[in-house]
Parts: sequence; C-alpha cells; structure tokens
Amino acid sequence: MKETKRTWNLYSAWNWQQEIDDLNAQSDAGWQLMHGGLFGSRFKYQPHVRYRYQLDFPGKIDEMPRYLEIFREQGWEFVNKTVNGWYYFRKPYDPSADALEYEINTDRTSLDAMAGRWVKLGTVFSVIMGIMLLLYAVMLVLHPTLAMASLLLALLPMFIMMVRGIVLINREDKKRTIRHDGKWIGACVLAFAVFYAGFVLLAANRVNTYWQRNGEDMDAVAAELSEETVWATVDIRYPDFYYLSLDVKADAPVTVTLTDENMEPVHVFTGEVKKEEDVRLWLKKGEYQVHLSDFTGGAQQVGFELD
Amino acid sequence: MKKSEPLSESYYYILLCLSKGANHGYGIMQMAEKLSDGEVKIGSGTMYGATSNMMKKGWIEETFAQEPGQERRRLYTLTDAGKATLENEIGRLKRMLAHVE
Repeated sequence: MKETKRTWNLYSAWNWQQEIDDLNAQSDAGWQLMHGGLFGSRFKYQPHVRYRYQLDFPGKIDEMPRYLEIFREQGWEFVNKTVNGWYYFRKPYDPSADALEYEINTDRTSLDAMAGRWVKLGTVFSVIMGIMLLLYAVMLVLHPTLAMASLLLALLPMFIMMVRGIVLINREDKKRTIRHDGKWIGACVLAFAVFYAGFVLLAANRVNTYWQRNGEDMDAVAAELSEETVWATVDIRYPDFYYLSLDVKADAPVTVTLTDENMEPVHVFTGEVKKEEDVRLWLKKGEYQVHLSDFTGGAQQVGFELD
Repeated sequence: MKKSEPLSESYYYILLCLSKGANHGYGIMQMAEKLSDGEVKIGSGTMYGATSNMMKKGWIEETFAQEPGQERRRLYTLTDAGKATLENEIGRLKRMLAHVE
C-alpha cells in the first residue's frame, strides 16, 4: 500500500465545514493530512493515530507567535497555511472527550467574524468582477467579436458563484454547508480557464495591420496604378467580425477594394476624400486582398487598417 | 450612565478571569470553564479574536511572565478601562436580574 497520497478537491470558502468533515473521515481511515491546499491535499498513511481537524480564516495576523501559541496551548498542532489565508490545525482525537474540545470558534461572535472576513474579501472581488462584466458587455455591444463574447462567458459563472457564496455565507449555519459544491466550482474554474485561453489565443491571432501609401513620384505611381494592382494581402485565421478603417485623400478618384478568396468584393470605396472608421465586416477564414485601381494621377494618400 | 454594548459570554468570562489576576491564554480558558461550571468553553479561534479585539480597545494588555524559567510565557492583564467595562457589564446584568425578582 502507498504511504502517501494526494487528493484533488475544490471547496468553496463558505463550505469549510465540508472540508473539515472530509479531513476527519480521511483520518478515521488512517490517512493523516500533511499539507492542505486550494485544489487538493497530501496525506500520509498513519493508521495508529486519529486526529480531528479545524480550519481557521483569521485575516491579517499582527503577531503570528501569539496566534499559534493560543492554539498550541489548547493542544492544536499547526499543519500549514494556504496562499489565500486558510490555516489548517489538528488535534489528537479522543472519542470520549467533549465534542467542544475539537471546536475552535465556540461562540457566534467569532464564527460570524470569520465569515465576515471572507464576505468582505468576496465583496471586493464581486464588485471588481461586476465592473469588468459591465465593461465587457458594453464593449460587446459596441464592438462585437467572438473573443469578447468568450471573455464575458468566462467571467459570468465566476461572478455568479462569488455572489452566491456571499449570500450563502450570510445564511444560518445549517443551510451553509452544501454537498458536492466542489464539482460546481470545478466546472466554473474549468469554463473560465477554457474560455480565457480561447480569448488569449483568438486575440493573439487577430489581424491588426495598417498600410499607408503616400504618392511621391506621381508618374511612377500613375504608371503602377494604371491597371488594377494588389496592394496588400490579409490572412484571416478564423471567422469573426473585423473592423475596417479607411482614410483616403487623393487629387483624383481612386478605388479601394477588399476581395475574398473568390475575388468577390467584400467592401468597395471609390472617391477622392473619405474617412471611414470601424466598418464592421464578417470575414470567413481565408486570404483577402486589398486592391487599388482607377487611379489617374496626382497626389494620393490611402490608409487602410483592419483589426 | 454611558450605555455600553453588551459583552458576549466569551468576552465577559475573559475579563472576569483577568480581574482575578494576570493569566496566560490556556489558564483563562480553564478558569472560564471552571467559573461557569463547564458551561462556557472558549475555543482557540475565539480566544485569539477576543484578545486581539480587547487589546485594540485597551481593555487588556499583553505582558510576559517574570518568574525565572517562565520569561517566554505570554500573560494578559486587565487594564483600568477593561475593569470599568467589566463593572459596567456586571451592573447591567444585575439590573436585568432585579427586574425578574
């Protein structure tokens, strides 16, 4: 039999009693906690001892020696602390002892204070996430893209979970513990990771190019553009909304055309002076070309941006 | 008389224990259980929170034992403000009890 093992579990902050119950059950089965963590814990097989575990969320500790001394004096052994501020303690278990021997928050005031500390933290996170969601929603309406929709979908379940947690933790104790909460949290975290990764990949692949052509040698330019020419090529890697900006200043009319792989025009402009910003185009995956044509001479400046 | 907020059981017994002399954390927990005939058990988390709060309010102070060999032992002592708070609370409880009789 293995001497150590690792479990993968997710517990919500308001469900600490569930984690304590699971740790005690592990101890009864011979597995003693070596290190408790956010996403899982490590255990050592020691069947000859039994412990009872407790979790504390004390907030900012001014004097760590005093904090640990108070627990040590009552027979609690400090196991470890997590990065998000939860402290694991354990005490040798005597089945004949009073159950209160294995409680660390023995009155409503200290229990509410512990819950209140997490609610404060949770509220700050919820407000920040709420503001971000609002901004993403506005950006999605004004500038819709798949990448922005992915990020909104990623953040929404995390925001709902955080608000749900605040509501639950303010309830009576008996309604606070929720079984199988870890699976729901795990699904939210996974959804967030998948969508966020998708957003990063999509954003990295987006086209963000700008061409500008200023006419200097008028005869050479006129000769070059006397017939239709392909001025630039754009590689669209995934279908989505893209935003085209055009800035044309010319002495004589010039035609700017964006075509798809089948040479079908997607967007056409003919004229001398024109400024277009954020023209929304749905572009499929493929190679697109920017053509300049019908140029008859004179100074010309064409700026083309696609993102 | 200035009206003060009622004390929780833990706060009351901690101040009551310290009114009998300086004591360390575990000593306070044991004395509280004895004084209350086993009714009041103060857990470590409750003890830390209560003593931190009371030190911030100036009701108790932290000190270290003077006896040789015990110099590292942390003790708590009642301040004048803590004594006044305890006396206020006892007065409040007595008045409430008088209404029953």
